[in-house]
Amino acid sequence: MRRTPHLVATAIGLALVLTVVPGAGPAGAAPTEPLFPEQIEAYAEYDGQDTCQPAFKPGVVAFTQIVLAEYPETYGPLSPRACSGGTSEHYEGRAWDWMVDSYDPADAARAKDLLDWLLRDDSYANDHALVRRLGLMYIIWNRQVWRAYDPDAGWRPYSGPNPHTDHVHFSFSWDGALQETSWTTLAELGQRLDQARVAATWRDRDRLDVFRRGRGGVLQQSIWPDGSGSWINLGGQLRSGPAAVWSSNHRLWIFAQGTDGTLHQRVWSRRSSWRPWRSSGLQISAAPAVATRSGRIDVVVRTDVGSVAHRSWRHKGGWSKWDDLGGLVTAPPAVSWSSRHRLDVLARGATGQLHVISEIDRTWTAWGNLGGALTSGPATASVSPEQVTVVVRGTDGAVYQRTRTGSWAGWTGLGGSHVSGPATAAIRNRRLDVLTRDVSGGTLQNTYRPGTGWTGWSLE
Amino acid sequence: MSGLPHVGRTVRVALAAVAVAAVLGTVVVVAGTPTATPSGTSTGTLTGTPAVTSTVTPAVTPTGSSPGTPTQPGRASAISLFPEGEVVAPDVSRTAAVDVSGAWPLGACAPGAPDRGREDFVSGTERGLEYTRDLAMGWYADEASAVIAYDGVLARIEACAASTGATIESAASGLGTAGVLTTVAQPGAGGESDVSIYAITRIGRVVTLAVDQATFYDGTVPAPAEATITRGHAERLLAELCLVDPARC
Repeated sequence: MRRTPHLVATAIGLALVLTVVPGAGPAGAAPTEPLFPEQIEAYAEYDGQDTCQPAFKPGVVAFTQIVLAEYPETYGPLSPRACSGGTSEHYEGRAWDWMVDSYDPADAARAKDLLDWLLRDDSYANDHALVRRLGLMYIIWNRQVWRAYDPDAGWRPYSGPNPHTDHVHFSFSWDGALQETSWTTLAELGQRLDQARVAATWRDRDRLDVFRRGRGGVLQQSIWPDGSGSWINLGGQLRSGPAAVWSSNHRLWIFAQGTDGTLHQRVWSRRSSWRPWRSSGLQISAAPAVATRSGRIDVVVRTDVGSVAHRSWRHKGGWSKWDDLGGLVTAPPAVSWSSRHRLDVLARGATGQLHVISEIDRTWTAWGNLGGALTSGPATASVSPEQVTVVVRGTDGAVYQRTRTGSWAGWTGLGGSHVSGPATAAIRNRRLDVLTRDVSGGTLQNTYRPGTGWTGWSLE
Repeated sequence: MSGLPHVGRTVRVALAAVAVAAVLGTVVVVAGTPTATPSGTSTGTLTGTPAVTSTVTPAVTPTGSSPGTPTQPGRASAISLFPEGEVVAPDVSRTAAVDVSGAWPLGACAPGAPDRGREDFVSGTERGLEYTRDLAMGWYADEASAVIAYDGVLARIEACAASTGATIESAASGLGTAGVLTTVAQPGAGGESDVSIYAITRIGRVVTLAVDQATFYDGTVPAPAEATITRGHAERLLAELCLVDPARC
């Protein structure tokens, strides 16, 4: 069963919350896309085959791997074609046939799933985003053709003698075939925004622990204010930025995506110091987020199908099962407690806006839309009872915040120029800190204190 | 013949003008901007199709004409080989040529001897996404010559398939006085087959040929009876003939 890939106001009550099997996404779901920035290329122009060099090009091979990994029941030939006349990008290794049968309902559903994914708009409202990022030039399927060089026409009748009812034909531009499109060149940048994000947690009012993913993916720690500027390597190999929290029993919890794509955790306690990294087994696709309250640890992640999943830990009960909160989010989610009874989960939806879902007295609400135009995942913290603040990176690279005290106030700009998503750390009733990375790699800090407001950005 | 697709009147007008000027000249239609040449120029553009450039080369003496048979210039030129209104993208190119000594478009097969008694001939090629389509029509001085030409085309297709080890399958098309649909499949390296589908039709003293070439996968190479797209083009050529030369229908 495929979940509806829309976050907007989806009524997901507790009764509909599903259990996620670690490492297994819904069968036939579309591939997960990297976390891209808003920058995107134009549609591919038509550049038909005019040479004979049939060896498959790397962009085509990479695409086949994405598709076949997602739909392992299917196949597509990877034997180069002899140049036998006519015009075909197969003769330049720029085309691939994905063998699905339009008369088989399961195959037809797979084809629809993949084509919908390729042709949908992205979170920045870029039309047909993935077709452009992959450099797809045209697609032929089931007697119809979709041309990137005539996108407004949509699917048009195909007049060739082969109706393409037994396969989907993909032809790539040269840029796409040679991996010179943003699918390859900007996926890394999008991932860097995620990877560059720091994590911060107050142990007490005199010590802020800051963590980051250092060179080579190693976890690094800096203790503020005394150790500002010096970073200690804690080992490990992280794919995402970390999440960190001090729990009330004086344990320090670190979470991050490992190089195998799964959620990993590491715990420090006074008695046993750092324990080894442990994998939860759940495949995730962005940095996790963590919050704590009354001895309970709550972790939220973006799953490998783009939904949000949550689980919690209690001292006597251990970890709960994963709950799939649904939605299609396009950046790392955030989580915080605003009161003893309310846990808020915030995330950037498919249209780039901020969405929220809350657990109130152990019952999940529906998703709500808080608007905005985000270029990062949010971060959130509560500095006062019944109040929660969320911060995001906007389309201009500045940070914006929005606070709920009873109801949500409007967006307020905090300025600055940031190359990572923000992180938050708070001491109840005293201060809320926002930390980001600047272009030099340094850490920027802006502190809110009840009664005096924001201090402005300073480079630590 | 009612209900047939609208045919390219504009093309016919343009090509007829060229043919009249050049008598039995050669007309080449390609996608692009109209340009004039010293030897003849078409006027206007094709509605709904790529713009037309027509160049006329010096007249070619029909090698197969029967002595004393009057040629009827303009008949072949007036034929609209390709339907209008279907081409909207830069990925389709079309060429057409009127040349009484032109060769039947049989791909890699060796060209045969010139047809006896041929009076007129038009052929063209459409190259589209993942396919090539050739269409041709020949007029003959008498029915016997048309029968010989028709049989000759069939024989060459069969001989060509036999020489390359391709799989060949034929069935009557039910079109014209005599009509055959033939598929020729040559296995490729990756489980695919390079397939040519021929629809050869004779109606009285006229022979038409529609050829589609594309790649199909094993198990999906169409049987002749399933080659509906190619058959549809053969049918359309006959309808076009009836519009241009009703006496031949």
